[in-house]
Amino acid sequence: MWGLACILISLLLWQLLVLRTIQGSLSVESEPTKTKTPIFHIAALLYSPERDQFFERAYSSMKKAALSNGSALQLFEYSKAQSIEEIRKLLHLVRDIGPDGLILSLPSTTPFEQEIGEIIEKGIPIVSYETDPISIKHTAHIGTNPFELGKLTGLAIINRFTSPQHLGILLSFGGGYNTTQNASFIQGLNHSIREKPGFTVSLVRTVTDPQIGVEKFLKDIIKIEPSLDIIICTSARDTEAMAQALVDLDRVGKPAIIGFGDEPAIQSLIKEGVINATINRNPEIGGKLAVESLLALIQNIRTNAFQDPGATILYPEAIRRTEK
Amino acid sequence: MRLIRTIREKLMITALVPVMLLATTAFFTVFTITSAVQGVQGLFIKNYYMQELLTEVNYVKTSLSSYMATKNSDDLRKVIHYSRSLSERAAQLDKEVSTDQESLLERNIASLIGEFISASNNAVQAKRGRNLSEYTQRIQRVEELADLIQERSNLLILDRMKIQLSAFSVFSKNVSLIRNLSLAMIFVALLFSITVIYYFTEKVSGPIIHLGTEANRIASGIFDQRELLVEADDEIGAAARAFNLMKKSIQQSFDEIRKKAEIERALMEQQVKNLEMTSLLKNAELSALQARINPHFLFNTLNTGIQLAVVEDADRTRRYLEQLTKLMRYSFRDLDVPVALAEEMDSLRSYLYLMSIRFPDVFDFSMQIISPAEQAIIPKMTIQPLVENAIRHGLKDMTGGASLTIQAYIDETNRLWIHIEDNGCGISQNRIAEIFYAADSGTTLAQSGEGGMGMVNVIQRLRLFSGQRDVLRIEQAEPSGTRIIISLPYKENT
Repeated sequence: MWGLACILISLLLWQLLVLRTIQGSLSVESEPTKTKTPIFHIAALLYSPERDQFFERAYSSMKKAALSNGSALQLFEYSKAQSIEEIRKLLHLVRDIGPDGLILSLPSTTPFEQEIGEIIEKGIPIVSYETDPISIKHTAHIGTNPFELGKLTGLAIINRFTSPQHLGILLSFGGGYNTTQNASFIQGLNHSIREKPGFTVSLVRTVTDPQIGVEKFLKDIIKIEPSLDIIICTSARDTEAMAQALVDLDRVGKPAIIGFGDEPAIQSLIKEGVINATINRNPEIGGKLAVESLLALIQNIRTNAFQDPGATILYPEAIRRTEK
Repeated sequence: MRLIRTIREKLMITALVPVMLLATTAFFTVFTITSAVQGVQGLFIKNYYMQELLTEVNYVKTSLSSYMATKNSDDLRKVIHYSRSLSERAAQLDKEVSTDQESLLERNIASLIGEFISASNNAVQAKRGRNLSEYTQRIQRVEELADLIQERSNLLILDRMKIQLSAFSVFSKNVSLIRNLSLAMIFVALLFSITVIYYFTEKVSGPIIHLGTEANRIASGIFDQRELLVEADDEIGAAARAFNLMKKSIQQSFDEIRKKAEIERALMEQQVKNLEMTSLLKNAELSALQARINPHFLFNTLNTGIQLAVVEDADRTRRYLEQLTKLMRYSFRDLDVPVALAEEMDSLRSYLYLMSIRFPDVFDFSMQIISPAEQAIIPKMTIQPLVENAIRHGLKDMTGGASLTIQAYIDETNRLWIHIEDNGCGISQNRIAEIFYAADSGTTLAQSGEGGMGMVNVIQRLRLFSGQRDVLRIEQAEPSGTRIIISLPYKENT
């Protein structure tokens, strides 16, 4: 009898669970209602987080920071496929919906100076994130200096390679639009290797089409410039794609890869020796700083106009050490 | 501690538990399905609301375009009407900040509608001012905002559609599961109900049947030590406990009666054994006496003595020896055979003759047998021991004037009465009590030297002979002496 009672109670609980699931799936108010919690509405115009792990992590950090500071974060995203006009339209939308503040990460701010000005004029403070700094009142900038990233990349090359090397660079800062950031990166790299006479930059390409990615340049790298010793990829996606291409072509180490990113797949490739080292910006700290700076601007609290979340070099030894 | 104590509670639980389980499930199912339907309805209402809002945005936009082109007052009225309506509708939207993306979209739309109405008003003002370049810009701005509202609304509707679809998907996925679960629950609840009903009815009827069986066993006289085991705290449990107490009580009473009966039987057996032992002793004594003297030798010797007395003309000696021989012959005959009172009296005469020779001029004997008492049968040697007892103990210290009277008669109730009375020193009441106690209990007298043993023996034999208890009475005679009265049913010697 007790067995039957247990079965009956189990069935009842199961049914209640199923009914609860159905109820949960329909947890929508039947009439429009108003939230009473007084929180700030933050808009973030970012490169699509679904397409870029760096922005995915940054957005996740922004959401956490916004939530912990009693604010709501609304994402407006663009992709590389979108035209400047479409991005401009997004800026108009942000201006018209009137959030309390905006985190802005554009390939370059130059084409959108008017829209940015209109937003500022409307009293919406802006924090630029990993893009060109905006030097207007009620703005702040959070971003890793591309010059510093270039310097770190050069340092990684010097540390790993002693003999003279021919370097190739695949630039993808700001989605390939931002020549300023790309130029700063190359300057930083050159600064690091200036005293190493054998290290020369033989090839520079800018990735503008994310659908094709590095595939487009494989022919250049492997056939036209067969003497290339090191290829530098400036995004995690390009780094992983290049490493996979070399594995597929059975050319691991020819050329060596210095890339970006510390995702598990990249760490695995570093451990296997396919990638020699990666430079890593800190999207978590960057995202958090962006939200905190913007909230300070919204509340007219003094904040730093420029903040750099910093970057680090990841070598295979560090991964092995961590695993141990 | 048991929670369910009474049969009523058991029956209530039997009936209520399955019903309550099913009712709970049914209630929750109905509640959830109603909520689900309300949720879906709510989503449709919201989407309908957004469609209405978009329609009004479109009305404002088209009316405004028409007004810009024709400056028609009707169009202006429409713009004003729909703008007001739109403004009221937008007021219903969520303008507060929330982490919920839907709420943020609503807030976006509310802001855009505000901008839209403001831009349309500005366009109307510019048209009225006939500022061509400005109202062209304003109308472009209105159209841009209408597009943005459309885009945001579509996003919101799409989000809600996703929720609807997801909910519908979850609902449709689980409907069959719920149906199967409900059927399974009904089936299991049915089984559970049957089991519960069976269990509790068994709990109720089982002990009753058991109780009945035990009662039948007791009615049949079968008692055993084991108690009726009923593990129930209900009324049947109480009845079983009472039954056990009753059984125990009956058993105790039976045991007591049995013990008493056993004690009485043992006593009876003991008495019989005592009697047998006494009889055996008597027989042994007799056998010993008989063994000491060969009767034939004794009688031949006595006959020789009688012949010698005849030859020598010693008549008294001859008579003495003849009476002695007669008495001895009578004594040596089988004691178990009853005799006629006349025979017993004849033998008693011989005895008294011998006593008168032995103690001359001391005793005065009288004997009165009223016919037909002489025909009555009595146990042999019953009168002589009593007479001998009277002579030995009652008259022993008398030197003269001692008398002994024996009287026998049959009364109107056909009973034999024999009175033996002396005028001796008498007998104490204590002695009489001792004699009767010894006769009753089959024991011997404490001071047999004072006489009475023969009397005890006589009483016992008379009781055995008559089958009656009250056969002999001992009294003090007036003015002195002892009177013994024997009373027996009259049986004639054939």
